[in-house]
Amino acid sequence: MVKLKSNDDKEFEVEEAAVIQSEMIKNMIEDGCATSVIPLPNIDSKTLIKVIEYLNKHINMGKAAETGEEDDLKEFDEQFVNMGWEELFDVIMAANYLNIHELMELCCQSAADRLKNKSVRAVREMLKITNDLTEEEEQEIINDAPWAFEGPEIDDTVN
Amino acid sequence: MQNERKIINISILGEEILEDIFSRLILKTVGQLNCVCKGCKTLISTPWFIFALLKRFSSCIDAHYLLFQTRETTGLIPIQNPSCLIKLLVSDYSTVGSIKGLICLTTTNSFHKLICLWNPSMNQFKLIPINLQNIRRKCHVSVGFGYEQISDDYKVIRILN
Repeated sequence: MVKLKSNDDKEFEVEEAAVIQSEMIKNMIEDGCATSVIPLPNIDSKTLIKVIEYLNKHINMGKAAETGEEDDLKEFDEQFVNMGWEELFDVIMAANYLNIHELMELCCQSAADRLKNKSVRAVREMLKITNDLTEEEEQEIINDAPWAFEGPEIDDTVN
Repeated sequence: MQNERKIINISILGEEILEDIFSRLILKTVGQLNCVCKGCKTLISTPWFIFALLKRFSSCIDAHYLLFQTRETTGLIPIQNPSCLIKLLVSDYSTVGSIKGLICLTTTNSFHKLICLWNPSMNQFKLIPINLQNIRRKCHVSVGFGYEQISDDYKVIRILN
């Protein structure tokens, strides 16, 4: 078992077979740096619970193909990313920090799916980006590629 | 094409994650990213990003393709929304070459050979400015298109004979 500690000082025990899906922790274990608790200063307990849930479910990815559990895993993934935008944001950052490739793929795809057809304003708000363009500059860009800004499917909601 | 790679804190997600997410977007939303902030515009203009975007398009089953042919090569470039592709002004274009989804074209107006770069995936078209003052008499023009690794940029070479 490997012990992980979130930034709000909660400890979680995870099976080594599950936790080594994180390249970062795998390297730590291989280097003998994981003898005691591994502190994760960038991840809060709420997010860490989600990540561990994913790791436990995906513990034997290879086996899933043999036993025909692929559909089950696919369904789990679909359910898993069915979370709020803020939460998804946190899981992406945790997955990036822990270097869990499959989880990054899953969550970045979900993020992209949600950003699809969003308006410029909504994209800014969702990604917490500050606008540094003047109105004139913005208009110039719109004039350059009007096709990107037209159409009824542009969605201005943030979710 | 710009080749700046350094983008300063556009979002707390960081440049790498944004690049990953953006490369999964549909073309229309990518087009709008130009307008989100200056950093976004730089990020989606890097050859690296365009390559990543193309790679994803290529693995997309329902992608449309653009067929291009030159004397030496024939290739397919994946595109989205073929209906909103830029209409090229003149129909008489010939292809010089294509690298990472970018196509170099030439066309001739009454006096000169014009060179253009066309990025069908990003729906962008650019006429390359040529200094015409040096050309006083009729000459044969050869054009080459390549990618230069050191500056991480595309080069167009024009040889007058």
